[in-house]
Amino acid sequence: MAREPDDLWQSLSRAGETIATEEDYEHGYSREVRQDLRRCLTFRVGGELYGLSIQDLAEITKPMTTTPVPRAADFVLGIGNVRGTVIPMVDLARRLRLVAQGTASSMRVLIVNHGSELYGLVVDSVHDVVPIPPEAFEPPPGALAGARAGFIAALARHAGEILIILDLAIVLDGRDFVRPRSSGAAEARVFGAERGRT
Amino acid sequence: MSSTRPTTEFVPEAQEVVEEFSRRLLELEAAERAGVEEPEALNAAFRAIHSLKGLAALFAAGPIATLSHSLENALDALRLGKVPLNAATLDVLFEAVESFAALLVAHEADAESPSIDPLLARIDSLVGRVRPERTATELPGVDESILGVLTEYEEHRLRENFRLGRTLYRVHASFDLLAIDVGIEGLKIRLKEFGEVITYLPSADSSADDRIDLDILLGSTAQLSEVSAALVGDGVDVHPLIRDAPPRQGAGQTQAISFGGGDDDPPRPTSPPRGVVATAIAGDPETVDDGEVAPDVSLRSISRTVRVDLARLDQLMNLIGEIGVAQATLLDSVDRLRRRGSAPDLSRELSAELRTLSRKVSLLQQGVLDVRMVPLGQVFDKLARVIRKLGREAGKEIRLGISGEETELDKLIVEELSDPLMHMIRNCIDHGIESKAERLASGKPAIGRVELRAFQRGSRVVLEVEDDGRGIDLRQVRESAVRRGLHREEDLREMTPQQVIELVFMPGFTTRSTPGALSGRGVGMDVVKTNISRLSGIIDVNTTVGRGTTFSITLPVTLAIIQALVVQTAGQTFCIPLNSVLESVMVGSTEIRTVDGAQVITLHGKTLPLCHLARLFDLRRSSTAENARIYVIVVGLAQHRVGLVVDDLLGQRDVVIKSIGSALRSVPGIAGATELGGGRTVLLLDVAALVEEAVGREISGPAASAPLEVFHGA
Repeated sequence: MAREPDDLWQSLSRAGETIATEEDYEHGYSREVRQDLRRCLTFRVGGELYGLSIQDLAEITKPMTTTPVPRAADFVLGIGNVRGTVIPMVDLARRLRLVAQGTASSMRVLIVNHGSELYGLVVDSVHDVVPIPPEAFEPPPGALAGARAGFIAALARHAGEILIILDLAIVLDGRDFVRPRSSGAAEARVFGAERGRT
Repeated sequence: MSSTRPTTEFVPEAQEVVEEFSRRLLELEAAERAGVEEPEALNAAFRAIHSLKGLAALFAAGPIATLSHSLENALDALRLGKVPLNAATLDVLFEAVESFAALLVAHEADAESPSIDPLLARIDSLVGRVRPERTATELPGVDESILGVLTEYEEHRLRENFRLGRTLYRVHASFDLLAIDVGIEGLKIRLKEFGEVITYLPSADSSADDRIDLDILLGSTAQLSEVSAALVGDGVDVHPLIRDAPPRQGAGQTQAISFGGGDDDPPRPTSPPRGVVATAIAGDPETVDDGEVAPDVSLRSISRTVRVDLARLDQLMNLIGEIGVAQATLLDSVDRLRRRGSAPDLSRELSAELRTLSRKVSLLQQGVLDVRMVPLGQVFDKLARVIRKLGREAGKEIRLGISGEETELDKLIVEELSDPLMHMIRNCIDHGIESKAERLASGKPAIGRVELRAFQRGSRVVLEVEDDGRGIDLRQVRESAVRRGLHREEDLREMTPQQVIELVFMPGFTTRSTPGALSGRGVGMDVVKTNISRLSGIIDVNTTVGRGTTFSITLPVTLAIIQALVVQTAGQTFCIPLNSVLESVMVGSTEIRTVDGAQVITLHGKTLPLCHLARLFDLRRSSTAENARIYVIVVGLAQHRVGLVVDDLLGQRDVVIKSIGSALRSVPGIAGATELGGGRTVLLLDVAALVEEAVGREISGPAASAPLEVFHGA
């Protein structure tokens, strides 16, 4: 994972508890180190910027072959195999009812740990790991319309952008993984199209 | 880990001892009914409880120690003949088995122990009922020096043998010090054919330093000549005890006295030389209660077994599966290398080595599978207890026959089997076996018969529960189904007898109008079916009104690695567990008939409903052209048979079942996934669910009214 200045800052600070920066010398005090920063991975899905706590993240891989699972919901690409462990692969764009905008070279699979099981989330592209202080988080605005509202755990501001923090418990709710029986035939076609993409 | 370790070791070990105890009680009960004595079983029961007492004290399991202590006293009185062994006594002892089970559960859960005071009182009252001291049978001619070294139990057995008119023999045996274990074992087996071995006494007659001499007291109905003919030779002599001179005085004598002291002598391990030492140190077993444990309990494990968490075995199994996959890939690469023709020597060598490797890997796999195997006897013993209890509660006398208890099955399956078997037994006793009066009226023996059988058939194990009761009355089943609103009367008239019998497996089905004490609450047989299906088992019912019913369950031997049929349909590959496949056949499309909208073929003279996998799964074929030939895989679930239609059969493979995660587990028809090498992950079909779907559709759908006989394989 990409290292960036904040990483260095954090490791230095862990070693010495407090560190004085150039700015501090000017002002004559050392500043306290934040212990409560939440580090989030930022990624894009359907043109929007999302964030996911790195605690939920096991690894990031390139897209892999998946085996389609009949009767699963449309957003389930199938099952993938990560070093011998079979995991469900989720097309996050479809799950969030967005249109994927990634290219074959930019797309990544976030392997996330949820409820002590692994899941693969296919995203358009992966960006950074950023530290976000608790006060930068805000609850999802109630007025936020759209089908995705339910998937959003919080919004976070970082470097002038708004990150959408996903609620994995909702995104990976097992009850949604099975395709409803009635619309089986209609979705089979979608499913067929799906297979071509990965 | 270290903090939880003591209990995790204690509970299973204690359970094993309690099971042993219960087995002995069953033996005793059988002997008691037959009117014979079984002193060895009684002594073994005593020994088991003695060990349990030590174990419980070691692990500070208070109530278990208290109960076993009290029980030990009672058993000691029993084996000394002070308390008569009868049905009432056995009831109390069996009750103790149940109490131990409850106490162990509480101990494991760290919960409050159920009260054992009433039971303790009953046990104590047993001991209280000590017979007035029987005038000791005179033992004319037995030297005091022998009587002096016998424990009270041994002396009791000696007198009993004498009282029963058996001849007492002194068998003198001399063993090479190095081969003594084998020698004694062999002799013991031969001796037991003739009667009861009362004791082993070290003898002072030893002729050499590297030999050990023993005097064995044997009570037998056989003549001296017979016993001598069979035993004498190879260091063994036989003399009648009464007329002969007692063992000579000497060093052996004093040594012997040291273990013969107390009334309450502890059990003697089977190997005499060690036994002398161990018991001499152990002394009076009362010391166990002070928190000390007799050395023969604490130092030696009861059995030579290692307990392994099943999860760890699964892990091993998984690893082996992955080795298998890697190996298949390697074989593939070598194959390609050979076809390319470069370095032919090397590639030939490689493939030869690989073959050796695959043989070893499959041996390894078999080895790990074997470790998971446990004999069905464990479950049968529990069931024997249940039958005894239920029979008594229902006021029916039942004789249980057991065979094939040594048949082995995967531990997981054995565990899962207990409940369904229990339900089936309940059913037998409650619905199957008639009351005594009814049986006599219909010319049957008063005592009902229930048979539990297990045997291996190919890669499957068949379990049968048979009773000689009244059988399943189809008329009654039909009436009940209508009464419960499960089916309409006109539908039932069209059903075949087999289909009617299958109704007993429907949830909520019962022929009773009021719930019986045991079963008849409408739960039971559907649970049986669910559990058996979950184990990929097949259940068959055979019944004759007035003659009895046989349920037979066919199960795979193991679940961790399974053999699978690899099939292809609509371009996608699937695995079907071979243990739910009855056969696979290739059929021309012209052989397919349509019965009321449902496709069927005729196989072995029976109609087999077909069900296209591609259609079930909404898979789209690349070409719409119907194949001229299709493959039909006959699969079975419980009593149903369905033909699953696929495009192609790709072969058979051993596969490791992998979970597809909790989110996808609820996808109907998919049981898991497996790797087929080359990083290919394929889905494993849940045949049970698919058949259920197909059958459900047929019964509730339009095909229900068609005279469709569900194919019923042998």
